[in-house]
Amino acid sequence: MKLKLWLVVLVICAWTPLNAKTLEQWAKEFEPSALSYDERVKELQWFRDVSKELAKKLDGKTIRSAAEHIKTHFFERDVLSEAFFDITGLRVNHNIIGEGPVVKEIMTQLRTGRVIEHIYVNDADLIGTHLRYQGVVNLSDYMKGEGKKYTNPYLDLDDWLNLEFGQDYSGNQLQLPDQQFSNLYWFRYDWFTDPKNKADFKQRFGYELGVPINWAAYEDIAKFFTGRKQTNPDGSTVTAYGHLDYLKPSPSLGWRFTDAWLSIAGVGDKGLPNGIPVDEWGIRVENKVPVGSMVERGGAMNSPAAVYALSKFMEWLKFAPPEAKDLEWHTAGPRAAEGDVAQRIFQYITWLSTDAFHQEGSPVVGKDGFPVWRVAPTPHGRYWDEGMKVGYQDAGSWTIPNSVRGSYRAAAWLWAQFASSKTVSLKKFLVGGTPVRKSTINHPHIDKHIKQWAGLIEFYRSPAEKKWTDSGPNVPDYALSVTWVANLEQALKEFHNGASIPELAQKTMDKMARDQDDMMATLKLRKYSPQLNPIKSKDYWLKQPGSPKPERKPEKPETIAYDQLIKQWQ
Amino acid sequence: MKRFFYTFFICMMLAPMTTWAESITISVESREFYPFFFIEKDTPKGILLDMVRDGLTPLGISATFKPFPLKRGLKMVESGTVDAIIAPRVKNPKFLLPDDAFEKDVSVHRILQIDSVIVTYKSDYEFLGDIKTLPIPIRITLGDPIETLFNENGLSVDDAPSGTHNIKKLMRDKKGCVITTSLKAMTWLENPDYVNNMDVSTEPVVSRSYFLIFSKKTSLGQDKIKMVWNEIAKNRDDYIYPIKLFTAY
Repeated sequence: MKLKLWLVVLVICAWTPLNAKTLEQWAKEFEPSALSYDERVKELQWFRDVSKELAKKLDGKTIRSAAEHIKTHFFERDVLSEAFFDITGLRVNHNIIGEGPVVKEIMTQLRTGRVIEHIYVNDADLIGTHLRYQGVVNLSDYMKGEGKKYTNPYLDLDDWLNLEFGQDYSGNQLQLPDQQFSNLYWFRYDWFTDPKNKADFKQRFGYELGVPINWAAYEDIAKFFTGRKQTNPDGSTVTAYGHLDYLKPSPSLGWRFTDAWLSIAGVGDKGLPNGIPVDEWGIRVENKVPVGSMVERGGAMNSPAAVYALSKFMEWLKFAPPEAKDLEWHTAGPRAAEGDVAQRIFQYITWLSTDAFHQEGSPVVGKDGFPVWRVAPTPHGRYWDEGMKVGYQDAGSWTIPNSVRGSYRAAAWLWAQFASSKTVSLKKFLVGGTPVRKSTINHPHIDKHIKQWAGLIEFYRSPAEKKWTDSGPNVPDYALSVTWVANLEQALKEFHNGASIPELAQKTMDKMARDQDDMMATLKLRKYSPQLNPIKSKDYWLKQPGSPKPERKPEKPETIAYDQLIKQWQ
Repeated sequence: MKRFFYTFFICMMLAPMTTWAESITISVESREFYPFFFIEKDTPKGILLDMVRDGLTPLGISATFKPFPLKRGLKMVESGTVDAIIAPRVKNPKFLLPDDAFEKDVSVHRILQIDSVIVTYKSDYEFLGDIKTLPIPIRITLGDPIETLFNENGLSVDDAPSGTHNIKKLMRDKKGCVITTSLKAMTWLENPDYVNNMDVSTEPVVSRSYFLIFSKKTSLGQDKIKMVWNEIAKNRDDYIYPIKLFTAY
């Protein structure tokens, strides 16, 4: 009898992974959290109970999900997928790949129906694609119907930040945000408030050194700091750069522009979250149907504002570290933490959680242990008008292709809800710095440590946050971005060979707009498929109100003191 | 003599590149396997053909595609009547395949991975990998090499000239299943007559790497063959190339 008992114990031990934790242990692990311990246990118990049958059915199977390589997703892979398995018995392989492969995989899956992954963390920039392809699960319908049983009663969608990024024109949730990442202005607060720098700047430019409100001021500040000796809190002295950018040929070079650079210059129309009828890609829509990118069709991709946007990108490279030509978005992300960059107009917050920006001894961390850098609103170009979006912000969002059905769909949906549940979200933010819930941003734990985020929390708590938005539903197919990558690569080659900037920028934007329209003309999408406008003269469209906008004179540089600015956010 | 040499040299320099290009013949299955391969107005077309052509062109090789039933095509590769064939992996000492073709289910040097899925009449049935649970009759298209898999498992199949015949039979009989590519299943889901009456499996019944298999008798050197496979893989793994490719279909 004893032998039998021992055998049973041995079998149980053999079947239980050595590091498996109980539900209660995981509930303790997710401290701090927006939920109390008891509430966490309750939420986790729901996940456990609802998964029982599913786990039996999918025994030996793995749910495949894919996400880009940022800290938030590594945490999901290394910690949350383990917790999810321990609690539900559902195994997830959270595959961390580059953003390029994520887009490539999901586009391939949408086009071929071949199940590469069961769920993606796919940027909500693709919402225009998804609503036109009709290739992903309508989560609003799923939650009410087939997936009701698998929908977390504690989900609380009202607690989400920018849920609308993942919605189609009718408010259906096609993608559920998993992590928000804005793109903000980043600068060295210690250098900007240094009395000598302030005095010298005022003497040279005739106005106060501060957070630039427009590109003219950004350019002056870039000029001012480039080549100037500066000191860091760690005692190092550096020759500063007034700007930082990246231009290595790669998909991320395309995103450098599609992530709303044109609208920051002022290309699009007024309207939030996206300009209507002309958006941040310079695409005009009429009744939700894209009708053109070229000015000659009413678009703005080769308008004076777009040419100005590309020109400034190239002109400012002289203020950036020379290695900018070898940087991509992810290698440029933490670059400013090296301590020789004064400001950066285009900083994804995704990278601000890296140790380089926070650890003791870093050139950008003060002796008090807090950052000497800050984030502030994105300065806008001369074509920008009040009422337009101010900057770029997107949400990596859970997206289930229609080709994933039945038990796999249910399990994928459970995984998505778990990884963005109230139980785990605060902890996930503390690791990755990309929030998804209001309860995270407004939590007392965040209040206590607000200084370490250097303005980011104030940004997310402010109503101004709504003016930072992603690519809108005008973009009929994200695949159009391939025309951007190809043309920008060519333009930069010519730029490095000494081509004159304004002419090169005009030629590039003309070609890009034409290529994008040519590609749009071939699209046959299930809903709101593009129907291009006939060609008219540029002059005709430039005389119409709104975008495309005619040539504007250079603007007067304007700055604002950071401490005054932050009060506006508070 | 010198004058002749110079004239010959100049003529060669001015001659179009095609004069220099190598040319090979590739067999492709004659069954309809849209959009991967199919015949339109007597011309073989499809994604796999495009990918092969794009892999050959930078190496100065042009290709002529000839449609044959798979078995006949394989025989022609064996005998060297054609240089190569587009097909899933086949063990044959007379064939040249990438090194990992039999080591992995998804080869690095494949042209493309193609999944075959199960289409059933709307029911509670869910295919989770065990082919013995498949509702019968199992319908496949004539000549689909997948037949071997079912035969090996003691299952018999019904074959029809095309997937269209099969899906119509499924809708008529309301029982059994159809084996087809995930892409074809997607097109059926767009058909209002079918969409509410059919289920498509998430799991494929089989996922196959399609290769450009060379004959050992081809005049193309092994180094060049490897370069072709590399070129195809490079395009497939590119960010822009596949997006553009699929847009065309």
